[in-house]
Amino acid sequence: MNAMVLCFACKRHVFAKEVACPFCGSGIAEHAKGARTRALGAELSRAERYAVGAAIAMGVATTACSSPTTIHNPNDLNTVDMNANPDGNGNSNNREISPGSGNVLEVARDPQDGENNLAADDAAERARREEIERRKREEALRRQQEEQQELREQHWRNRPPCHGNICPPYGCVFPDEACDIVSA
Amino acid sequence: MKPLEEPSDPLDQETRVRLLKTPRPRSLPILPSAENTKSGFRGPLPPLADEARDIDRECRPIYAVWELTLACDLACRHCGSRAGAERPDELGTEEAKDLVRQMADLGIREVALIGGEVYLHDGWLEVVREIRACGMQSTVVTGGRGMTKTRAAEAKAAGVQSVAVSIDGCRETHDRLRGFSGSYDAAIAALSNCRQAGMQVAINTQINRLNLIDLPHIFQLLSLVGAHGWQVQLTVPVGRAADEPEVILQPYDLLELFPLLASLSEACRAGRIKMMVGNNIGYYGPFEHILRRHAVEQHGESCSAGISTLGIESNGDIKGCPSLPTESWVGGNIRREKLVSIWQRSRPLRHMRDRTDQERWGYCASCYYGEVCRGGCTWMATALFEKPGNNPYCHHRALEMQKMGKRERVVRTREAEGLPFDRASFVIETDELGDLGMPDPILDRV
Repeated sequence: MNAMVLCFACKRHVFAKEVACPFCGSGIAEHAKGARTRALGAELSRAERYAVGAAIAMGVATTACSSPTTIHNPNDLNTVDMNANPDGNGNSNNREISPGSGNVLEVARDPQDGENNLAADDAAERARREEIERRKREEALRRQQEEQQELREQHWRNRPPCHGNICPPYGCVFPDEACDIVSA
Repeated sequence: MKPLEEPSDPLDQETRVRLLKTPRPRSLPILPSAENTKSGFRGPLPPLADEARDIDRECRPIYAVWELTLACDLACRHCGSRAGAERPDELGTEEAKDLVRQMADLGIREVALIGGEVYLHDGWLEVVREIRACGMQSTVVTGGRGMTKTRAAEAKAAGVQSVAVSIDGCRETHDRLRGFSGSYDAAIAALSNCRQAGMQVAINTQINRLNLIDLPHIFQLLSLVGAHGWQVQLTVPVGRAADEPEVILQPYDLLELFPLLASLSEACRAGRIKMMVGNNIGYYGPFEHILRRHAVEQHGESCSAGISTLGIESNGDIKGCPSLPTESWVGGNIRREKLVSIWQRSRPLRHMRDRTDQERWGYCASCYYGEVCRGGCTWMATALFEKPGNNPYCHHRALEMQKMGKRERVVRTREAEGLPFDRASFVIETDELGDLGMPDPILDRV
C-alpha cells in the first residue's frame, strides 16, 4: 500500500509519490515525504548513478587534465580509500591509492597542469565522499527500519497484558498502533 | 472548558419538532420474535475452508466486542440489534467463560462487553472475572438505566476497568432516541455511580440529524462527569435505526459535521480527553490529521473487521465486526467450531483480508483514496446497499461533490425485516446545488 503524507498547505493526505498536491497544487516537500515513504535499496538507482557520474565528469571536464589519476568507481564501496590524501603540493602522484578490485577509471591528465589537476581531484574526492556518506546514511536508515519492524513483530507476539485501561470501550476498533496502552 | 459555537441544525424547526414528538413507527413490532433471533435463523452457516493460510494466521484480533445478551432494559429507537428480549439460545455462563479462554489463546487484548444490557446476563460478573484472569482488559458499554451503585461496585470488584455510557444528546433528544423518558438522567447517574465505584468512565455517542446540534452539550458533559474518553460514530441505518430514515444524517450533512468534530477534537485534546472517531465517520477529509491524531500515521486506513477486530453475538455467532449485519457476515458459531477455526477459516471473516480493487464500485471505484480507504466502513456500505465498496458517508466525497455543484443523499426504497442487525435498502440520488427551487429532499419512498 502506498504511504501517505500530509500536504502542509491544505492539510489533505496525499500519496507520497505525488510531486504536487492534487487538491491545492502545492509542492509536496521532500521532508514531508519522510524516510518511511521509500524502502532504500542497496544499489543506487540509474538516475543517482547518472547524477554522480555527471558530477565527476563535470569536475574533470572543467579542468585541463594532467597526469593519470585513479578515480574509484563510486558504485564500488570496496575500492574507496577514506585515507587517500593529496600531499598538498599538487602532486597527485603521491596519493595513496588503496588496492581495489580493479574496477577503476583511468582519466588522462596534462602532467604540466598541476593546479587544475588538484582542483579536479578535490572535486572528484568531494563527490566520492558525499556519495559514500549518502550511501552510509541510507544503509543505516534501512537497518533502522528493519530493526523497528523486528521490534514491532516481537512486540506483537510477546506484549504483556495491558494495565490501567484508558480507551473508551467499543471505540477500540482501531489498529494496534492507535492504542496508547499497547504502544506504551 | 469554553463553550463551542452552536452548529447549524440540519433540520428545520418544524421537522425537528415533528421528529421529536413522532411516535415509533408501528409497521414493525418493537421486539423481534425470539425464534427469529436464534443462530442459523437465516439459513445454514457457510462451511469453513479446509486450511488456514499464512495471512489468516498473521491477522490476529486485538479487540473483541461481545454482545453478552440481547436482553435490554431500554428499547432504543436507533438500536441496530433491536435489543430488548434475550435470544432463546444465548451462551450460558460456562460456555461464555470457555469462549473467554479461547479469546485469550487467540491473542485478544481487550474485550468490550455490550448488549442488550450486559448486567442482565446472569453470569456477567463471572465472565468479567474470567476475562481479567486471562489477562485481558475488560470494558463494558451500557445504556445506564440499571447501573446502580451496587452494580457499579460489583463491576469494579469483578475487574471492569472502564465503563462507557451512551449519551446521545441533551435530555430531550436523548430520551426521544432512547425511547424512554428518564433515560438521560439514568445515564448521568450511571456515570456518577461508576466513577464513585472507582472505574474510569467514557461516553459513546451516535450522531444523527436529531443530535448533531447537541454535540457541544455532550462535550461539556465530558468534563462534568470526569470522562476520560469520547467515542463518536454515525447512526447507521441498521435494525431500528433503519425504520426512521429521516433521523439518519445525509451524506452532505458531513460538510457541517466535520468542522464541528475537528473543533471538538481540539477542545478534547486541551481537556485531556481522548476523542476517538469510529470507522464509519469516514476517512481523508482536511480534518483527518486532527480526528485521527491517535493513529501513528494520523490517518485511518480501512475496515479492520476480521483483521484486528472480532464481533460476537450472544448466541455464539462470530462476525468480523460486532455491527455488521447478521445476514451474510456470520462466519460460524462457537458451539460448533473453535474460535480460532472460525477466525482463520471462515469466508466472512476472511473477507477483509482478501479484498481487491474490484470490490469498489460507484464513486469509490475511481476515488483518489480508493486503494487505501477501500470503500470505507463495511458496516455502513452494507447497511445501505447490501455490499461493501461504495460509501457516500465520506467527507472527502462530500467536498468533491460540492466542488462539482452537487450533493448526494440516500433514499430508502425498502423497509427492514424487523430482525436484529437487519437492513433496509437505499439508493443514492444526486442533487444539483444550482437549482435554487429544489424541493425538500425525499428521504423515504416506502
